Amino acid sequence: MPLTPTDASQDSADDGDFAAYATAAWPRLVRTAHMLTGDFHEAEDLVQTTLAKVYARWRRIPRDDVDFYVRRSLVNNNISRVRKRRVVQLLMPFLPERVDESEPGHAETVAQRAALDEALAHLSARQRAVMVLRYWEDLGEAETAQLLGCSVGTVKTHARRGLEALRAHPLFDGRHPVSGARP
Amino acid sequence: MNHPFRSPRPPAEAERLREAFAEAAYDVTPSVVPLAAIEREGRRRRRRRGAAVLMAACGVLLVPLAVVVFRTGAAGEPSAPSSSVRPPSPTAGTASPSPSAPAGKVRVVAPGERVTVSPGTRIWLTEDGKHWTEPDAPGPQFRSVSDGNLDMSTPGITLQESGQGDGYFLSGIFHGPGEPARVTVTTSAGDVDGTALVLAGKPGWGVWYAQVRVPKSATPDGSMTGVTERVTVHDSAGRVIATQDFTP
Repeated sequence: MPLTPTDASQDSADDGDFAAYATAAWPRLVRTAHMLTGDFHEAEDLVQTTLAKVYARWRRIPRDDVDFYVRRSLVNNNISRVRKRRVVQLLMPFLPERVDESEPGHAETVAQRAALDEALAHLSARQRAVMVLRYWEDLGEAETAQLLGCSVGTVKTHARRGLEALRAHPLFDGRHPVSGARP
Repeated sequence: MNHPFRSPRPPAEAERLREAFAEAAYDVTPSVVPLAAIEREGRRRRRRRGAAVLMAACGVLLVPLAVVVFRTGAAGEPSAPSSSVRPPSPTAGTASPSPSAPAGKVRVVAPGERVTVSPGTRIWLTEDGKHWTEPDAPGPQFRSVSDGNLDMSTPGITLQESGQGDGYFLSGIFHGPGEPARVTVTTSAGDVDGTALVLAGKPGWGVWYAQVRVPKSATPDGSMTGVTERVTVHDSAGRVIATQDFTP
């Protein structure tokens, strides 16, 4: 069926909406995905796949719920990815420094990031998702439960077990105090 | 941002964790959003879903017709058993590795030359690293040999493992001194020969790939376990250029 002028203008408006949303959301989504995957390339692939799926359903997603829908899609896509794919990257013990990085304490930051990646790698995909949503996305237990499609009790259990696992890591046992977060 | 569900007084440990997450998150610098690729893949998914809906609608229309035909046809026949027992497939439960085709080859390719592994799966090399596409991925994927993530000063092998249908597409980068002649891949479904792709001029690295069919009995059920156990790249004299154990 040929597109009417109204359909075409609606398509164009939708594309514009999506482009604005994707451009604004991309950096934070990549950072969240990096927390979920532990790998920068995997993170960008994951966000790209998620946004493509969101684009395909863009007209049907209520604008007030876009963030919730995208987060849920990101987490679910990651769980599917983990189920069917294992990626082993032989990384250097410490991730490479960026060329323009010259601030003092950067080596400590890089070591800390590597340590956090390592600590999170020991969690299951759902435990990891709970930790990321609670402590990076700053969602509450009820919102996390709604997003993961489970009960608040399950979220609490995942968070408790995740914390127990992380406590065993040197980064969180008090030997390596965490410095202040960047703005 | 308002978070009505957030705990009013988070403990110090939670705060420390939030700081660690924020610190690590802001140390990542995302690249520019690949908007064109996202929208292209989104449109492709939309078209595919539309086609699936159309097929389902046709199916719904055809089912009553099929029922009528079946009843008409069965009316004059003696009653047949409503179900039958199918003997198990002779290969069920046994490992049946399916080597990639062509298997056990080494190919010298030009930069950017697309090598088709299977429909929708292509690999090509540039001086910067390995590029590949897969049917379910939105666009080309890339692993660099020059961004510092791989320690090219010592031999090594990386692995990317993707489920494709009832099998797996295995690939990665190998690096080490010597000219590759053979790639052997040990998987939970048995050993398969891989294929190596290298650029001309002995760059000291290359890409390997293999495809393996994995029976359910050999499919991993853990969330972070794969089918690949070891990958080894040999030279023509049988010497090991690089080998890597991927068992958890």
